[in-house]
This record gives sequence, C-alpha cells and structure tokens, in this order.
Amino acid sequence: MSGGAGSVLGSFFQIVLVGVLGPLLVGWVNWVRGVLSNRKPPSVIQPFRDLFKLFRKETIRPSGTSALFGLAPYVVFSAMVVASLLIPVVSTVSGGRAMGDAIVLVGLFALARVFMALAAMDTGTPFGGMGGRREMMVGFLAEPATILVLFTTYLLSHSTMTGVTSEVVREGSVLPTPSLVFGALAYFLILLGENSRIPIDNPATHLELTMIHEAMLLEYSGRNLALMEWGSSIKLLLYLLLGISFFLPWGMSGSPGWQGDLLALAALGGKLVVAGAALALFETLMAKLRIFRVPEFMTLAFLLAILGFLSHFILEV
Amino acid sequence: MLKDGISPLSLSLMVMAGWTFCGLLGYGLSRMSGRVLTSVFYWSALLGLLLVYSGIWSVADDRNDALRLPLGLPGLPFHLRQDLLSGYFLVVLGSVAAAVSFYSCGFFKKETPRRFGWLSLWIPVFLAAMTGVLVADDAFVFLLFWEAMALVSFFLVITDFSGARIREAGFLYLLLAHLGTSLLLISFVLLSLGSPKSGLGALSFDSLRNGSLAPGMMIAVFFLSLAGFGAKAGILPLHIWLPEAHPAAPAPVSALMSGVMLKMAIYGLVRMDLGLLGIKHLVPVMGAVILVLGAVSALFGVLHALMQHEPKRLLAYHSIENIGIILIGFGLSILFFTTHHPIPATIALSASLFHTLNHALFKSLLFLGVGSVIAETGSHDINHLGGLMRRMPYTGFFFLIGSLSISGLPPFNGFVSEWLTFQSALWATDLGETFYRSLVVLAAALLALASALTAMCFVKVVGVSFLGNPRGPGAGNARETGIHERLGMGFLAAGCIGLGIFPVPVLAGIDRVIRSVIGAGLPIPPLSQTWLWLVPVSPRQAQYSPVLLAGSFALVIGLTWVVVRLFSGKNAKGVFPTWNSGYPFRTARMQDSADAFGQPIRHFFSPFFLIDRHLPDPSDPQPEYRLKVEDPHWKFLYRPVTRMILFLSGLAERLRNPRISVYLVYSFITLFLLLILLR
Repeated sequence: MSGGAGSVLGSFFQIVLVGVLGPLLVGWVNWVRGVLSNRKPPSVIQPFRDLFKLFRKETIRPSGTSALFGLAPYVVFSAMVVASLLIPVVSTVSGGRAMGDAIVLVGLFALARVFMALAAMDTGTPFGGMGGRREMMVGFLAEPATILVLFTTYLLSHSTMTGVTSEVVREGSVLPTPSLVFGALAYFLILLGENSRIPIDNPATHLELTMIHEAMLLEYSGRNLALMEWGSSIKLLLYLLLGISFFLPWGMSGSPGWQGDLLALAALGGKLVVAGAALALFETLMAKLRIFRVPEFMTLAFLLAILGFLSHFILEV
Repeated sequence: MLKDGISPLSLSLMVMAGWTFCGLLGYGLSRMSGRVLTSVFYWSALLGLLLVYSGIWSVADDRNDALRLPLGLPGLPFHLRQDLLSGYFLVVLGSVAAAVSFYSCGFFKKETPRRFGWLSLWIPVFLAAMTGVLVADDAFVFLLFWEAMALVSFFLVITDFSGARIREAGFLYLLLAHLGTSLLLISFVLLSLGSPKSGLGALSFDSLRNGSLAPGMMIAVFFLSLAGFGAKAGILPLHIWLPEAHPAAPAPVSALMSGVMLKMAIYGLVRMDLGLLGIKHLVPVMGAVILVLGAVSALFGVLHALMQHEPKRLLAYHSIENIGIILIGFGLSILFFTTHHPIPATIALSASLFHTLNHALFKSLLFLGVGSVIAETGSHDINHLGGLMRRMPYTGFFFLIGSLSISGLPPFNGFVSEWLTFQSALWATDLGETFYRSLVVLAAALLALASALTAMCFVKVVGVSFLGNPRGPGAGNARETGIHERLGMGFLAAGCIGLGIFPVPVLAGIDRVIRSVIGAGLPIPPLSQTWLWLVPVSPRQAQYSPVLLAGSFALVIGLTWVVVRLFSGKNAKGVFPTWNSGYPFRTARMQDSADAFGQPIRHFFSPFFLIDRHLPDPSDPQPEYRLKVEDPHWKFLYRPVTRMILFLSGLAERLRNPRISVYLVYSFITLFLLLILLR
C-alpha cells in the first residue's frame, strides 16, 4: 500500500517497456514462424513499421457506427496499459501493485474484450457480429479455467497478488511442483485462446470462416486500427509475462537497485525469446480447430487446472 | 435539531404513511389531467430519499429503535423495530424507489386515467408495504406486510388485465407467492414452539430469538423458510413466475419488483437464519445447500437469459442469476461460520449484502432503460431493434453503464461484490472436509462462468438493440426519452459508478451491520485506515483500489487521446460504407440477431434447455423455420404436479352426489371422527 515518486517513475518505465516489447514480441513470433515454414521472414521490427504507417494514415468512419466505435480502441489500449502495471515485469515489487490483484487483472482483460466485441457489433455487418459472438464465447470458456489457475497459485502463496506469488514461487525449489506444472499447462491453453492464436484462431488470415479477432477489427482503419493492434500485441505480451511471473519467476529482482534490475531485464529478455519461439513452434505444428471443437480445447484447460488444484492436496500437503 | 424529536424508525413510519397518502391522492386525482397527476410521483421520490436518510442514520449511529403500537391481535401488539440490518435494506429500498418514482413522473404522463389511477395508487402502496416488511418485529406484522406486498405487486403485474397472457402470469405469481407465504407461516409457528413465552406473545421476534428448539425442528424451520423466501426470490426451481410476471408488468413496476422486492426475500433469509435461528444453531450442510442452490440458479438463470429475445424476460432470468450470486455469498458465509472461519465468513456476507445493493441499482436501471426503449420503439423484441445508440444516446449510455456493471467488469460496482466473493471462496483451502473444499472451488468456477456468460449476454443485448443498424421501422424512428426518465436512470447509473469506485464507505457500513447481526466483523474494518483501498485481510494477501484503478484508467485514456490526436493522421472526410464481402444486396436483417448470438450456448449447454426446432424441407415452397426454447422445469416439474393435482381433485369430485342423504352421511362421519380424535 505504499506509493511515491519512485513507484510512479517505475510505473512509467514499465509502461514504456511493455509498449515497446509488445510489438517486438509479435515481430519475433512472426519471424520464427516464417523461418520454420521455410519462408523469408519479415523483419522483427515489422510491427513497428505497420503501426507507424497506420498512425500516419487517414482514419475512416464506417457508416452506421456510433460514438462507441470510436471510443473502443482507446478503452482497449488503455485497459492493456493499466493491466501492465498489475504484473511484475522486472521486479516482483511492481509499481502498480497497489491497484489490485490477479482477479482485477482478469476483470480488466474482460473489460477490453467486451468493448472490442461491442465495437464489432456496432459496425452492423454480419462479420462483426460473428466475430464478437465468437470472441465472447472463447472468453466465457476461458474465464472459469483462469480463475481455477488462480486458485492453484493461491494454494502456494496464500495471495492473489501477482508479485507475492512470484516471490513465493521463486523462494521455493527450482524443481517445479506437480500443481504448478498442471497450472502452467492450463495457463498455456488459456493464453492461446485468449490471444486468438492457433489452434483457436489464426492471426495471419483474413479468411472469413476461421477468424475471430480479425473479424472484429475489419472496419477499423488508421489510428484506431493501430491502437487495437498495439493493444492486442501488448495483451499477448502480458499473458506471457503473467505466465513467467507465476511459473518461471527465477531471475526476477526482488530488491531495489539498478544492478539487480538490469540482470532481471536480461533474464526477462531471454525468457521472452524462448517463450516466443516456443509459441511459434507450437503454432507451426498445430492445425486450426473447428470452431465447435473449441469448447473441448478450453474444457481441457479447465480440467488441467482442476488437476493442478487436486494434486496440491494429494501430493503436496 | 431535527434529530431531537424523532428516531429513524419514526421517520420510516412517516415515509410509509406518506407513501400510502400519495397512493390515495394519486387515485383520487386520476380524473384530473397533466401536471397534478405526476406530482404524486415527485412526492414519492422525495419520500424515497428520506427513507435512504433514515436507513443511513440507523447504520451510521448504530441505532436500534423499537416501538409498540396498540394495534393487531389481542396479546400481540404491533412490534416495530429498525435496527442496522433493517436500515441497510431501507437504503436499498429508498434509493431505488426514489429513482423509479422520478422516472415514473415522465413515463406515466401519457397514460389513460384508468391506468394512471391504478398505477399511482398501487406503486406507492407497494413501497409502503415493503417498508413495513423491513421494520416488522413480530411474525404477525411481518407476514401481514409480506402478504400486502405480494397482493399489491400482483395488482401491479396485472395492470393490463385485458390480456389473457398477463392474467395467466399474474395468477402464476399469486400462486407461488401464496405457496411461499404459507410455508413462511408454518416455519414461524414451528419456531414459536420453542419460544419462552406462550400464546400469541411468542410470535414477537424477541421471543423467537431467545427460543430453544430441538435440532430437528431447527432444520425443518430452516428448510421451510428457505423454500418460502425462495419462492419470492426466485431460487431454482421456484423461479418460474419471474420470466412470466416481469414482462407482464409496466417497466417501473418490473424495476421495483426485481430491484427491491426480490431483496425482501434476501432480507427475510438473513433475518431468519442469522437473526432468529441464530448462527450458532446452524450446521455446515445448510450453508452447502444454499451454496449449491445459488450456484445452480446463477448458471441456469444466465443460460436461459442468453436464449431470450424479449428484453424484460431476459432481465428476469438475469434476476434469477443475480439472486444466485447473492446466495453463493450467503451460503459461503454460513459454511465458513459453522466451520469456525469467521474471516472468510464475514467477507462472504459483506459480498452478499453488497451485491444486494448493487443488483438493486443496476437491475432497476436496466429495466427502466428497457422500458424507455419499448415505449419509444413499440417493440418487445430486440430482434426488431438496432442502432438506438445514435437515436437515444442518453438511454444507450445509461444502459451501457448498467450492462457493464451487471457483467462484473471493473471499475463498476458488480465487480466489487464478485471480487469479494472470490476472495472468500479462496479460503476453501482452510476447510477441513474435502467435499466442502471442492464444492466451494466449483461454486467459484461456476461464478466465473456465470459472470463471463453475463458479459456475453449483455454484449448481445447492447449490440443487437443499441448498436449496428435498425432492423425495423420502430427502431429507425425512435426518439430520445424524456427528461424525467433520463434523470431517473442517471441517478441509478451514477450509483453504479459511485459504488464501483468508492465501495469502501459502503462496505464500512455493511461491516457495522454484520457486527450487529453476528457480533464479528472483518479483521481490518473498512475505512478504519484508508478509504482508497479495499483490503479484506492483509495487503499482502489481496487488495483492490478502485479509485487508483479508475483514476489511472482515465488518465491513460486521456493521455492516449491527446497524444494520438497530436501525432496521427487526419480523419477522412465523410462516412464510408462497410465492407460487404462483394455481396451488394446486404440488409440490416443480416446482422446477428439475438438468437444467432445465443446459438453457441444452445449448442454447448443443450441439456439445460428443451429445444423444439423445426427445420424446413429443402423442397418446401413455403419454408418455415421455427425455434422454441423452453424451461425444462415446466415439463419435468410443474406440468406433472399440475396433472397430479387435477387427478386428485378429479377423485374428490367422485364424492359429489346429488342426493342430500349422502351429504348427511358425510357430515355424520366427520362429526364421529372429530369426536374420536378430539376426545
């Protein structure tokens, strides 16, 4: 519950870091995917070029939309920026820790999802409605599993504060406990669903029948599209960062001091490079699921989270 | 000072009398026209605010005022009492009553004299009856006002009694209301058997509180009262009147019934279980039963809400869901208390009571919004709407606030109560028995599922009716609703935002209420250290600061807006058509309808529905597509019961005989049996 000039500066630094790392991560994942599928990959900084171009372009207002359509990109982007303050990135003592815990984080993601779906409905096109409907569907399938993962991490740390959980897991043995392994697996499936990755959705296509995320953004252009895309890339980064802070917090700094922070930053960079490559590998190997198989996929995440929960009681107490 | 002469209780009684007078005045003036009529509702709104003051007074000053009026039965004068629990629910009642009355000033302007007389008589009387329920301090007064509340709300449901469907809905409601009241009567009488006094005096709440009953009797009282209050609150499987009665009633009446009347049942449950039975006489199983009922009601309510395209029916199913959420908190608190974990128990009870207030605010806001939409578009089906956000921007904005609140999204009020419920459910690990442990965890997962489904449902409602393009002429020509309606909704929307950002003072009040009821509270009472943070146990375990969250959110949105405006490209001039996939014949009807939006749910959760779907034959020259989704309780519970009752009454019919001698024999046998039995 403490604040001060230092933590405000830290928060600002964290926002800038996340804002830069988000598009970079997407660029890295796309680069690895390109290499893995024997294509000549786009540059890692391609997302920045896209964002820059979009910000310079004219913004079109589609017919029939209301004020909500123009407001939604700002809400989605800001929700991601605020959410980034709730996750420990470099140090387990994150700047915005005072604002809330992991459940608040889930709530912020849900808020962004609702606004994105509403904006899609606002276009009045069949695509928009379809995208919004599917996005909300994946959302309601993922949310109970997310809550169960949080229950599992709560068992270890007796806290829903993300930083505290990282501290407790880091203090524990390097050999992961079974409940953490199950929790991490469930979390990975949730990450894929919530970020519209293969096998739930294909971020690389505009093919009508497979898309969820892209269908919702179809009518956006210019700076509105740039904000939406930037927000989405930050969301992917935040999901990875939250996973890292829960399940792989080793290397994070826990005490003030720039030397520790620099080391932690290097460790974070390494983890993100590996995680991004792993995500790209997984996406290259998997095929997209039919939309009606998505519930089974997300139920698997739910069951894995329950297993994590039960294995704590059976094996670890 | 004003406070010298009167107490909160006398203030509440004055409000009650005022409301009754308002009703009679409105009825008397119903032949007059124009402003005179609607002034009744201004007074009614003012009285609502007075009631809020009275309730806050009770809670803030720890008042416990009692009064005996020389009325009623011999040996049982009217016992009235306003303690902290009553005070809290009076705040719920008063705030919604004020907003709905103000809304009614404009909404009922164009009514015919008959309808106006009817509504302006019964709405204030309804409010007075609910106040009576809250200040009653003996079983007789409680049931008297309870029954008055049920009857008056029945009159309000059948306002448009010329429609057969409305009469049927009213009858169903009346039936279940009376079933509930009779169960309550039995449970009060059973409870009074253990009371130290004898005669009618045993029915005062004081003597019921100090009674001692055998454990078996306690359990009977608990379950009877749960069913009795459950019939009013809409707990599964006694919920079926809600989706019928709410669409039948005018919108402000639905807002009052759903926003406040259902809460009277929650009040009754808390009063009965924690006040009269006493927390030490409860057992964990009771908490588990309430928890399961709550979780099942929550999931079932939201799933059926997703199937609806009639907005009031949809909101009625959401009331079932939200009562379920309140009961999850209440059940958790009993479960934790009876297993000696007072901390999570208090968190859960605070969550439950806070959600009661939150639901009252956003549900009445949503009903009022729907009322304006129906009045302006003339359509009871959201599949005929669309694009209302542009035509009715205020209504749309307020409805959006209500939708975000009911979906449990930060920084609105619904999120705070759900957050608190999760915080207490996390303590499941401290429960000894694995069964209860897994039950609590599953209930929490169901709560998460229900809240995510609610978000989906309100994306559907807002998206189909307020966004996109108009699907029919009604929506295309709609106009913004009047100033009274807007102010009434604005008051409730401000409440949703205000309670979402500043929940700590309210939770401090709730903590006092809980301390007065069960003698224990949160380890760090809210507001004792700071008003910025919500810290149930310790900052290391969990904390939430809605003020900081909303503040930084607003800051980031503002900064982003400024920076993007400064450095980005221009807006293209004019408005451009949307992408039509190369298909030029697109119409507004090709947008997602409410049923299309619910289709994945129908697919995944098909066991919860009775689906009657007719698909047309490809060769059919006049193809027809028909879909009907029904509540399975009708088929598997209510219709068999109805058939059984009809069968039994058919048997009784056989006793009838045209000859008088047969009746004389019946009388003789009855007398004979009575002589034997009552020797």
